[in-house]
Amino acid sequence: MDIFYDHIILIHEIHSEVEMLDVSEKDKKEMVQLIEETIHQRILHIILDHLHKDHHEEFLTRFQAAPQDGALLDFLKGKVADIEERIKEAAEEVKYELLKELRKHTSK
Amino acid sequence: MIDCPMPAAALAKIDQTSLKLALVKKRDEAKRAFEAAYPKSAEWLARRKIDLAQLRRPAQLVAGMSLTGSLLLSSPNSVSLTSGESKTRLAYYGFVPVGELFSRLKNQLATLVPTKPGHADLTTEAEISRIIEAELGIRAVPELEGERLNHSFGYIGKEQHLKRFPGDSIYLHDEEQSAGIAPGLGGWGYFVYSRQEMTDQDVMKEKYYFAVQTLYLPNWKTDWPRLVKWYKHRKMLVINTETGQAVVGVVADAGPAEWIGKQFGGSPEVIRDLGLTTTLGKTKVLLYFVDDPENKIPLGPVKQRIGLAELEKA
Repeated sequence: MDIFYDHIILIHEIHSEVEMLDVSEKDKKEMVQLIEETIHQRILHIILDHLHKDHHEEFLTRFQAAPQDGALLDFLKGKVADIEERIKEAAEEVKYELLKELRKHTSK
Repeated sequence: MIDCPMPAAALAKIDQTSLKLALVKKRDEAKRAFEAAYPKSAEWLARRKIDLAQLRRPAQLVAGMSLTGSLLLSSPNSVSLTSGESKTRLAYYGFVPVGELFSRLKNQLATLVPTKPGHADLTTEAEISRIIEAELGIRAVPELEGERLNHSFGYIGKEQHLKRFPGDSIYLHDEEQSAGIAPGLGGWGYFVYSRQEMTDQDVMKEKYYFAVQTLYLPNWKTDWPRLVKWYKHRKMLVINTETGQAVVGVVADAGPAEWIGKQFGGSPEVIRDLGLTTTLGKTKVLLYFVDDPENKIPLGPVKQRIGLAELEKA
């Protein structure tokens, strides 16, 4: 299942990097889960940073009900005009940090 | 696009243990930052068992969305608590099985509660309140709006049912009928004036009521008109310090008499849910006021931490 912001954050880039690692499928799955959780936490953080607190509950309610719902992005855009850009920036930042970790622990 | 892609050739060997640790660290940092910035939202997610790592798994999400703690424990279709993985995950997101909750509360309070009926010192009282709020999600204090009972720690005994309206009888109470019904009225009279006007909330108030010794308050004789109003159906939390079981109820009766050797009384349902089974028994309890100005904390036994989700529904 996709998350409504997947197409903005291009999470498949990270998945691809992990897929290339020389580790077992179980370890890959574990790493992807850790990475996903980090990214989702950071994206959620940035969304709430920009969304007025009066709308937090409505957003979280809709998000938990249907994380894949494209209307969520419309909802956010209606409240924060440049939310797409903010999500993208946050995603780039966290992906950069995660990929740096991947590289740091990789030997040629 | 990100600007540090990893060449395929460089990915042949990795130090996966240290990489995993680094990824766990990143995940935990992000989580802590989120919880610090948005504690209510974090709790909101936790209460729904929403695992951000599992968002792409609809079944997991759906299972986490609507089940209460007790259902989670009993439903064969829900997450099995027999697996260590599930226990870890649930604990991580704030869900604690009821037995563990009681045990944690009991153990933390063990060294803090006074040795005899009365009050702890102010520092200890504050620590007790902190523990209660952390474990149960309820802000409970021994002194509220300047009012304090003569004891916040003492012995509680079993009371009978109270008449809720004129003509009420034990047969109209749906639980604990063997406890009988007091021949007189509770210290604050009937809960309502007719059976027709009795609401579910009135039923719950009688089910979960306390008797407290307002008559022995030092200012009772001079200030009783105000105190009667203040204490009427005042919400309180009782904790069996020997088991950790906790119940929220309201003040609805005055007593018991000092010579009985107990400082508090509890309705049959309160006593049952505190884990006391004998009519002659008494047990050591903490009885604190619930600081709940918006009246959102539900009455009854506390079987899991009360979080934002319950408060939002209230």
